[in-house]
Amino acid sequence: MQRRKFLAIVANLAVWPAVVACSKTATSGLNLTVASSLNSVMQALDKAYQSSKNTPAASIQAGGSGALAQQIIDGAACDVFAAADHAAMDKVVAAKLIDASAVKVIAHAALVVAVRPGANVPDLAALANAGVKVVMADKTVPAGKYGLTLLDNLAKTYGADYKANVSANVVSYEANVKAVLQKVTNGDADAGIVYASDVVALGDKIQVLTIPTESAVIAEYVAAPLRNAAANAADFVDFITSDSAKTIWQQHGFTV
Amino acid sequence: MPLKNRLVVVLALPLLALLSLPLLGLLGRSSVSDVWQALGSDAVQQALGLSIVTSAITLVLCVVLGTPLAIWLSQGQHPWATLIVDLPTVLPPAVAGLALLSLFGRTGWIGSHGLLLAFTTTAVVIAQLFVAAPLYVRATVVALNAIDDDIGHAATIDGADTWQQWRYITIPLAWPGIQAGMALALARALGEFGATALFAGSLPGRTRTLALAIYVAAETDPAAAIAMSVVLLFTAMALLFLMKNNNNVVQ
Repeated sequence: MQRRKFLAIVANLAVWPAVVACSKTATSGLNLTVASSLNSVMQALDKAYQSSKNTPAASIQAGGSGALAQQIIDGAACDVFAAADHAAMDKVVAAKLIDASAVKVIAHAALVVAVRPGANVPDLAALANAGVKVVMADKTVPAGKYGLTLLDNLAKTYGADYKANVSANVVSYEANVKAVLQKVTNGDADAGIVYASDVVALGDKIQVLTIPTESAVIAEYVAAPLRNAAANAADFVDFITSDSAKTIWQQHGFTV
Repeated sequence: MPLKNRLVVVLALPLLALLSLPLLGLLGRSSVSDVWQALGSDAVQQALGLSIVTSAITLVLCVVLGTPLAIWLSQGQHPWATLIVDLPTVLPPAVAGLALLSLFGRTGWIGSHGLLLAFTTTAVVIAQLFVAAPLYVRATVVALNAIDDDIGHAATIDGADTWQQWRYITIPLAWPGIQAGMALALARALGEFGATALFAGSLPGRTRTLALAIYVAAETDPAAAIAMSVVLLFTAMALLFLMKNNNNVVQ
């Protein structure tokens, strides 16, 4: 009886160190925290960085820029933060985790409208037609803010009612831009406002309406190493802004 | 005897702490004025109202549709049906959302015939029903199976017909278990996030439940997100409390 009690206590206590040990990540590469639209290009950039500097693979976490900023402030492990607008980056700078002087603009991406094949949306004007199902990112997310600016710009061409009509057609305000694209690609929404870089890999599976230059909204991506980051964090940021990284950005639909 | 009880308490404490301390931390991070402000905002009121209404509808559907299923399952051996009923409980909610889309989405079996349910409030209820009903059915089956057959036989010998047996013996005996099932289903429906996000979308007033609203608010306004979480926490507690008390009166 005594032995059984003893074993029960030991088993119970042993669980906790095991839980703690499992939470220590084994990777010795960089921790990259990036906006969801940067996920694939960051993977490609990291591969190029690995082969040129012979470093281990980075672990990449993607999501809505604002939520990621909050996670970093709350203590999530991060060496480099890449956001889809300045507001998210400024939050981390304000929390004194990043030097304002270390923040660099890394790329730009134009907003486009992704349309599912078979939907009756031949041009931008058709977005305002009754019955069209539009999906956008929520206004709390960079892609959502850019999207609202886009509608304001297009209203100058298509009339004062354009923004109200398109907004009435919105069936969902998603928490990140990848979720917007997913609703269009799986066929439930007719059109979604996403970044040009998001649709590059989809080719024919999706129709893309580009925005005329005078109304275009260009997202500006910024990145910075964290203050107490690993040694080569700043080096990585230099790499992704270097000339050798340009082709990778362009292949993924960004402009540098 | 006292030593055994003390041992049990010591072994129980770690998990109890894990379950209670985060909630206390949540309450500690918020202030009454934050929560009051959250309750006053249109977005939260819309989301809260939508959450309560959809969860209530889901609960009613769980009982109306789930009780016959539970009775059928408890009256014989139905391994395949039992497996199907248990599956949504172990599926990640995102998988449940994709599964619902494959049926009700535009390209799905039902959706391709014209019935488009994605992005509607109905979709919210369906998603909640998909994840919550299995909990209700499972609890009700267990409650019904726990009733000794001999009691029913004795009642028949004494002249009770089927309806009287259900009304005066089976339901009252199974009631605590059924009530527990209802509480589980209601709580699950209220907190549902993954399946609704994928299947119903997130539109204020139509499909953005409080759980989805908290997720969106966490992007830019952590204080608001925490305040809304406290609101959801108290709403869940209030609904569970109301349900337990009303049911006792019915008893």
